[in-house]
Amino acid sequence: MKLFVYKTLVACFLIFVLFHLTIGYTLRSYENEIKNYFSKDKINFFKDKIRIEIKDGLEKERILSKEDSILMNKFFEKISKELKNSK
Amino acid sequence: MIKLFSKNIYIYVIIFLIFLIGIYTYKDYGVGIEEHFHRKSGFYWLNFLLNFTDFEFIKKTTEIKLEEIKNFTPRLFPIENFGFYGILFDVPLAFIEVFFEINESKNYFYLRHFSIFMLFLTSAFLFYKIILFRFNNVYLALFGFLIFVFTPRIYGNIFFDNKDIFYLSILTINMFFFVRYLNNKTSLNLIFFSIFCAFSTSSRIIGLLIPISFFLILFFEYLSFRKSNFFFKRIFIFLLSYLITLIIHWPYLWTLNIHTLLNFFDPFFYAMNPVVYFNGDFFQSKFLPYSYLPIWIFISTPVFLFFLFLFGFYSCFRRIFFRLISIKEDAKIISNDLWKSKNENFDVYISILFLLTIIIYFSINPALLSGWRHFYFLNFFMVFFACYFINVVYLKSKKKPFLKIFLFILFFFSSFTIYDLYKYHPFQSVYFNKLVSDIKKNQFEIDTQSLSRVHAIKELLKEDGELIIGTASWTPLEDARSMISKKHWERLNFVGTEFEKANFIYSNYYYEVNTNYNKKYEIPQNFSLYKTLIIDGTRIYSIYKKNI
Repeated sequence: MKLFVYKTLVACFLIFVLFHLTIGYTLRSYENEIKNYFSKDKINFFKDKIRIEIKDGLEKERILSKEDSILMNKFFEKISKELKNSK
Repeated sequence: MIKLFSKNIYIYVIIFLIFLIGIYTYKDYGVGIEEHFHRKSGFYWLNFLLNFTDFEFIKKTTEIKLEEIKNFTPRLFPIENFGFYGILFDVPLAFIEVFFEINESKNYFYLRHFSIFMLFLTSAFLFYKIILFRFNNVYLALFGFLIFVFTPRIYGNIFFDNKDIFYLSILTINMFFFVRYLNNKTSLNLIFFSIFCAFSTSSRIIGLLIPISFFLILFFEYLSFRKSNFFFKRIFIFLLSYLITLIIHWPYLWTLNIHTLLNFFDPFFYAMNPVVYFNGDFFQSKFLPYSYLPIWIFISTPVFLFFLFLFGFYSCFRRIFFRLISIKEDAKIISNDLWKSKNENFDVYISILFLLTIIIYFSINPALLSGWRHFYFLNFFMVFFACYFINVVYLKSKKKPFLKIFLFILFFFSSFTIYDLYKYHPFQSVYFNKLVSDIKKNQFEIDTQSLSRVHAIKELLKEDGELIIGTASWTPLEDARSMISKKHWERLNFVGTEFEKANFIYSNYYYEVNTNYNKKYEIPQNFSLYKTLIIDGTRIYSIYKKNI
């Protein structure tokens, strides 16, 4: 009985250590990386950045260059034509 | 005459000297970041307790004090939401403040500082007793006592930290009563031990590990001797006095209902989840790397103590491991058990407690901040294992030149640490060891206790006229007024992060946001550096002044 208890306790402890050195460590590293990557400050920073870019864009005379606008116009027309034809 | 110079008297002389140093220097420290909250907590629970009495005068004064605190520090968290903090320190101090009519803010904070210093000194004396019991060597016990007190981060906190140092002190006293119980297994000693277990639990929920480790020890004893009566009697006496003490002295438990009781542990793991600057990177405090605690301990503990601890820990576990593998099923042979003597029994107990703490750290992933101060209680284990190793070296190398060299090295490094304490004064709580370069130091949070705010305000008061001060850090700078004479309050105007109104900006570089992305603490370009305090390459705080 005594030996069984001690062996069980030691086995549990070793499993715990092994788990945390392998799976636990990997899981926690990924979890931490993801959670820290999408932190509130970063999200707010990028939100503000987008807002500023849109504001700047609105203040400009043109957002796209003439060549880009012609190119995109042709592109969207082609897409819409293809979508219509698919019916 | 011989008695007077007996080596047992040295401890009293040293304690007296430390007491003198304390008396002479305790007013140099600023106010800790959590002190206002704990003072409020003290009055809240004092008021709660007084509702059961007829002491109208004290009750009225307590209510006035609570109102004053509410007006002075409106940003403090409501105690109703954080009522789980123990009251052992806060309520008696609140009572003394009311009873002796201490109304000058400086004085009641000094009183708190002096009280925590005295409590810690008492616990350090009991630590000396523990080491003396365990190793039966006065000089080792004296050395243990000295490093227990003079570990820089611990020493830096003993004059204001009524939470982490308080728990370290209670834990040490708790261990002393365990030693007493081991020496003499009477019911009375068991009751004393259980009472302090209850105190440890209310001071910090991790204190629950102390009774759990005790149960494990009792269980191991039972496995060896199969004395059911003894086992169940011990458990019964311990649990009864533990639970009664816990319920009596922790009014938070009186406020629990079925729902909160079922989720008893939830509030203890609540975290605001601020951003923590660690090793040059920003992390959310709930998602810190495993290495957070080990790295903090490694860089902010004197190198020699850290290695003594590691070797001591290894030696102790090695011994326990050999005991473990030689255990026999036969209950009669005592030498084949996990411990052979009271000393070894104590080692096993301390090792279980230490291991459980490590297991808890790795398994529950606690939200941490402010360095490793929540784990300052580990100082007990570190110094204990350090003493263990010194004892091993002493026993193995008696009368050999190696011992003399070893003791010389110890003396040499200890002297350096004492010098560091002097150099860092009164900011020993931001100590880094010699292995950390100056550049690396700035990749960690420094003045997380916001001690420097009082120092900074005193510096600014040397200027004339009104001082409009902004704060570029997560520090409630305005609370520093508690340590400033009221006659200066009129000149101080705090504007937080509204830097356009300020003529000075204070920063201790302690942030709750990722400053790479959140620019709320960015110093405006029309400000330039006015003063900066750097100790041993550690930048503690800076003041910026508006360019005219």
